[in-house]
Amino acid sequence: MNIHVAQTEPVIELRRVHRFFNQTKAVNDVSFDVYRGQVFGFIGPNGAGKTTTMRILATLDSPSYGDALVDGFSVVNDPDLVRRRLGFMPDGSSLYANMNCVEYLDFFARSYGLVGRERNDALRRTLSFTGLDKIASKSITGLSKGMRQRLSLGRAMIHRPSVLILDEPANGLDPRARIELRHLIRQLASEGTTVLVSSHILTELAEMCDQVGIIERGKLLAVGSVAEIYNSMQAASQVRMRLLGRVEELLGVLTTHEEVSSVLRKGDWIQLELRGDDAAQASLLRWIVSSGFDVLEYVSHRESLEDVFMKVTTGAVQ
Amino acid sequence: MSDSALSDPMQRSHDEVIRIVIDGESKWDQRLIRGSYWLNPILVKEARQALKSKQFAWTFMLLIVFTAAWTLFAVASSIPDVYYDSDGTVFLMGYLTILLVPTIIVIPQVAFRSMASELEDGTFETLSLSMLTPGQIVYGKLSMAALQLIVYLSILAPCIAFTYLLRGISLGVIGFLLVLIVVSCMFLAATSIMLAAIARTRTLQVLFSILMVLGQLVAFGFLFGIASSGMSEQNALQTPSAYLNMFCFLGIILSYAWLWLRCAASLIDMASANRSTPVRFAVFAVGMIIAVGTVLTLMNQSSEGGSVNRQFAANVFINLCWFHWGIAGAWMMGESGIISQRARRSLPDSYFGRVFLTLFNPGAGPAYLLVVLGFLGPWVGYFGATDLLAIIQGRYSGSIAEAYRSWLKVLALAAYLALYLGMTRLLLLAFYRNKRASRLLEAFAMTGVLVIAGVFATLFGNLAANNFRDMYFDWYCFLNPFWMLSEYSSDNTIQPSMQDVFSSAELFFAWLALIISGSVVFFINAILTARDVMITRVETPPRVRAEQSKKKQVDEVDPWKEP
Repeated sequence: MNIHVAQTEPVIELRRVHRFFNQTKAVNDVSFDVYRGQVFGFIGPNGAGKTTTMRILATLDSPSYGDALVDGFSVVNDPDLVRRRLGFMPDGSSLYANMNCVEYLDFFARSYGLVGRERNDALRRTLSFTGLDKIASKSITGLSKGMRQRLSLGRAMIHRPSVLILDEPANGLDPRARIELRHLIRQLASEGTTVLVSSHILTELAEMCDQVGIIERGKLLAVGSVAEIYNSMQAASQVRMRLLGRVEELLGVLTTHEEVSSVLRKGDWIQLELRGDDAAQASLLRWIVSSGFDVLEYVSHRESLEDVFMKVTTGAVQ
Repeated sequence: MSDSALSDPMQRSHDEVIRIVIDGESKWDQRLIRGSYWLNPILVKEARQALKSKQFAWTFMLLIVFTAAWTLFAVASSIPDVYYDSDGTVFLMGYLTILLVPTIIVIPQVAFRSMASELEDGTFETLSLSMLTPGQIVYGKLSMAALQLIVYLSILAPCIAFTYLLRGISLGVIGFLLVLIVVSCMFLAATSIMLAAIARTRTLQVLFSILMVLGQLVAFGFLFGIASSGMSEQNALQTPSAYLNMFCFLGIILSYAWLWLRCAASLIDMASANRSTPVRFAVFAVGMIIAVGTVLTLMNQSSEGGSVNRQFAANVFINLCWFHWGIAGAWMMGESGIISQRARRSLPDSYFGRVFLTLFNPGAGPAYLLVVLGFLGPWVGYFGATDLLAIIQGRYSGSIAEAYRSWLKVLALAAYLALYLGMTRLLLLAFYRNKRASRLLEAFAMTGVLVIAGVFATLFGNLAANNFRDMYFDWYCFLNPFWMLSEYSSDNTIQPSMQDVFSSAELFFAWLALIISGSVVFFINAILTARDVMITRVETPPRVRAEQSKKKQVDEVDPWKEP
């Protein structure tokens, strides 16, 4: 069931968060908001400050300056109230030995104060949601990487947190497990959970995230939906079209068009780079057709999140 | 949950298997699961882990094997005398030696590893994000140690009962030795949990492991010695004085175990929490327990008419109390005076709260005052009350000089606390510009360096003044606490009569210099503390209060009311 929630107040608010380790600015003036039911992707190269930011949000670290709020509660002043609302799945989370899946989840259910029927319901729901119900009594030691990740996710969500923070959850997973994990995250978001997720696999993030934040050397370089970032960068679209005749004529016209940055002919195809957003592209196509050119094929290629990421970041490390 | 229930899952429906896994199969399983809701989740988790661990299985098995082997060996070597002689002590000594291995060596090491592995493997982070309080975590670890102790004791219980039937040992002595082993085990387990909470690096973990082993071997030898002497001198152990002394000793040991657990809980608590005040209350309580122990011992000694023992007992306990406050104070001098908004919500607000509890606020300033006054208070109260009462009633049994000795010694010890801890605080304030960070280790090390510097400066200065040939106590030697106290305790220096109390001019001037310098440093620190004690409570936001009360309501849910 999809829940549509009005985006009135953000569930996660970062307000000028700074974190310094001696001279290193691990997080440098990072601010963004995430609303209920959104999946927010946190992208950045290694050492960019993603994990530090997530740990601050999870109350495992304190900001040197600034504050972060979860559901209106400060991670600095009310970390205990934040923890109640939060599920955190750290990168490479370790699990206890000498326990099976249900014992592990049972322990965390009890640790979150769930007893009696609440505990039973939480265990049933989590085992079923994560698909661990078939191996509930299997020892953790014998679990595959994917199953361990599922168990970690189950642990993070056993108390039904309103916010889930997942640090590289798809790390080391096979393609099938990644797809399943993506579906689980989207399902959680559709049920109203706000998810903050970091990953190196940008195509995955592009598919499941409503918003992304690109961070490098502790600085948040861009934040918004992929389309918004794309538009704000005034990035170019790659357009290819095939005409029925009058190719040279159109080439001549396009070279003088103000929104076309480059144009060249490749056989029957014209390839051009178009500045501006979708509206500019639609306008150009409408003009070509109305000018009497016969367009047989038209292919537009938006820059992917990977392209955007490569453009926004410089690859510098600190 | 029973494994047999899941042995043939194909025979059962999927839902049925899940129901068994979560709820338990039999009625008893279900009752046990429901009963466990009242237990600390850490205890439940650790018990589940321990019962599957090889370490527990091996310890359990070896304990049974060695107990059975000792029983057979002892019976075989005593036959046929075992039918006539009182061999209970021989048998019990063997059983206690076997019992000491798991209780004194294994259980504390397991507690250390349990806590250390949480921090080392990263599981502590996920644990700390749960609703468990730091106190629940450390007490959960300790209760697991207690559970193991019960299991191991239950193996030996029939054999120990058997030794009583063999005669030669009284129930009182058996009980006393078992209580001693239990208390020692809990103390060592609490110590190991605290050390594991401190050891955040691999190097420190290895270092503390080695220290733990050494400490455990010492404890093993100590308890073995007490057990042997206890059995050979059973009558001496069963006097009221012996019981009282043992009661005081065990009380102090248990109170230190409690203090260690409070320290461990503070070490793993959130950075913005008020981690200082609970530890301070524990330090204060332990100081008071030592003082009460003194009073009980002194009253008992007085009633038995032993003035020499009275003086000895008073010295032992005063010195113990001094070390207690000195060591605790050396750490506390490194506390940051910056109190987080969150911690400020818990500061005392009422008039009486601000008057009596401000010294328990975080920060080195209040800590300094607490240490000096906390040490001085009980002794002034006790000596003042008893001596004054005795003088008023005209039944003062000891000499006036004896009373003076106690008074002057307590004042001198308080002056040492004021001097060295005050100097540490002043130096830290001067050296470190970042006042936000706590510098507990630096403060402890600096106090140690100052004391050592005081000792060596006086030794070197004294030798230099005497052409490096001999040493004579002089007034400036007050900087060396050990020399000063040794001179003070020497019977040749101060005779037990009023006119001879100040007979040694050097000692008198040393005492005077100590009191003056201690007072000066105390007043400078007291003035600097004014800013710390001015910090007031901030109101808890209404939304936070509402959330906290909501949590309280959830906590009051009765898990037994389950359909």
